[in-house]
Amino acid sequence: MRYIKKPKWGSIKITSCGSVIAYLSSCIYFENIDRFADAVKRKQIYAKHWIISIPDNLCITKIIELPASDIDQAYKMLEFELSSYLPLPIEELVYGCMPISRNENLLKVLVYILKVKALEDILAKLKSIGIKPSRVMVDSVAAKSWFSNDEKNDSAQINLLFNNKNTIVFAIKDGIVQRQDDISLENTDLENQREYIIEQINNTATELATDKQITLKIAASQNIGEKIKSWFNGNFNNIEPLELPQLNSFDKESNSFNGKFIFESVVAQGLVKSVENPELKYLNLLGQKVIKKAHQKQFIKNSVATFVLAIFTIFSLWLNFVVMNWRIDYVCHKLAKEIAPIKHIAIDVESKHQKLKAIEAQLSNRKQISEIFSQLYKYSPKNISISQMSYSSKADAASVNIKGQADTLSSAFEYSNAMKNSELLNSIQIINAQQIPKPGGSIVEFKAECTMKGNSK
Amino acid sequence: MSVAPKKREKLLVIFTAAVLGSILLFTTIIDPQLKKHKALSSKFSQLKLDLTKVRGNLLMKDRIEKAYSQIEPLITTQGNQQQQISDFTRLLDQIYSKLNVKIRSVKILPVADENYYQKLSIRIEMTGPIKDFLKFIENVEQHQEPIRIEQFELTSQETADTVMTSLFISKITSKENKPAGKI
Repeated sequence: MRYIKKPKWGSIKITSCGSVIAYLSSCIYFENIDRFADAVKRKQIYAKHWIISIPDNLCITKIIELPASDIDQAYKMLEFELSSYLPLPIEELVYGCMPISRNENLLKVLVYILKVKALEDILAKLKSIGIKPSRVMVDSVAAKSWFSNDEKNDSAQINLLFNNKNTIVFAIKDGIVQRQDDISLENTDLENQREYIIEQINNTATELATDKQITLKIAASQNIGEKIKSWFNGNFNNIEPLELPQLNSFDKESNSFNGKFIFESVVAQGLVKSVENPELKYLNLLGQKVIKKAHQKQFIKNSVATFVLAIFTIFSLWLNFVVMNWRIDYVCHKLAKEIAPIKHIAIDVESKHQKLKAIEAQLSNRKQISEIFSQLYKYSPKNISISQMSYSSKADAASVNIKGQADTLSSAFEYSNAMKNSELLNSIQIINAQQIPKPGGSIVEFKAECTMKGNSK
Repeated sequence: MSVAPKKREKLLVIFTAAVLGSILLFTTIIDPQLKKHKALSSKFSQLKLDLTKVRGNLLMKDRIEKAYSQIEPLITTQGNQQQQISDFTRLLDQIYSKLNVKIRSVKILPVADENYYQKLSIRIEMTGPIKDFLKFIENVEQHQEPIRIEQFELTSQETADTVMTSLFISKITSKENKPAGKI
């Protein structure tokens, strides 16, 4: 069975016997680290970022109260504060923290401290198999993340995780793992340890010393889950059975692990879950230098990718234009080739066509002026005399302007009526008429105009 | 969103560099291609138009040549432009010399140069009896040459039936040499 999944985050938990539990979109078991390395190398499994978990016993834990407004500020303060809590120089340590509670101006944080040397050993081992983790967490936080849903920090809970060899107990109060016990089941069975386990849990509950109701979360395989739940029915009101992650072997079809690797599976799944928790963003034991370097590397990688993409986009755009221009140029050449052999004939025809049109225009409306005079003589009344006349022809229209005299105003205005029967001048209009006194009477001077649309050729 | 001053300056520098880089790349790489594209597109449109015109002319070839053969004698002239103007004035002189009109002025106007032909124009001012003026018009309008009165102004004189006229007369002639190039 091959798992070719491409999630953003993948987690790794190396077991005490050297096998690897990885969580991508499900828990996958690898017999040994080489098999896992081979699967990564062959890209049979892939994650953009890897997150690993280290045992709690490798870390020193401290609870420190800092005058910080938030976890960002508190994390910055730790660089100066930690030296007073530890005998080691800060340069030899890597640390991560998570908020626990707030008391007025003081923020209580839980600090996990790891020696740089120990971290380097872990990273070197992972580097040899081609893994560069983006986050390093601790088992208890990962397990706590797996158990937690969205409960608030002020709640109290006891989480029980039943392996085939042991039972792990996490007592959590105010969001902190107060106690982590390991009840061994080796050389005996679960039923024989019943009384002891119940007693241990009751003691733990008493130690939590809280006035709040304690939630008991039980994570056990299906065949024993109901039985264990019945053990605590009288003592705890709030019991939540949890379903364990299903572990699949990468190489074998059968998935019978006989209750083994339950804790590791829970941690592996919890690691991925913890990434989404904003409170755990500073609980990365990679160390500031490594994180900063990784960020810088990522920034350079992103910048180079953006630059390459920009260049590629511009190149594509340029290429697009070049191809488009080449195509148009090619078509132009084709058209020019098509025109060339017939161009001289076309020019000759065009020349003749133009001359023909010019001559047609020149010879159109011939005899129009003679006809205008003829109609003026025929239709003008006797009492109208013309003193000035102008004629102008343009394209297919001609206009005539007349200045003349009449004996009365009415005669002048009747002039256009008189010309109604004229074929050419029937649209003549009087545009101005003025009576001018003269010795022994008066005379009317008028102006008329007529526009003719040419229709004869 | 508040941005720290140092980060803001850094962002401004990156943004300015990006803008300047984009302008530089655009002007050196994209813009020349855009200009070339514009020129080629215009050339392509012109060629397409030319091809359509050429094809259209070829389709009309027979009809136009037939019609042109009829008017060819009218438009074909001998000699250069000056000689053509001289011929034109002589032609008008032949018309009005037979009439009782007094020519006050003859003005040769600039030649309108068209693609394949030219238009010669003359302005003549004359006085005389209206009867002779009308005869002049009639003779011009009936003349076989492609001459045309485009404008005239007529003013009556003190003496009865005497008029003063100004005429703008044009003539179409073929060009000495055919122009090469445009369809």
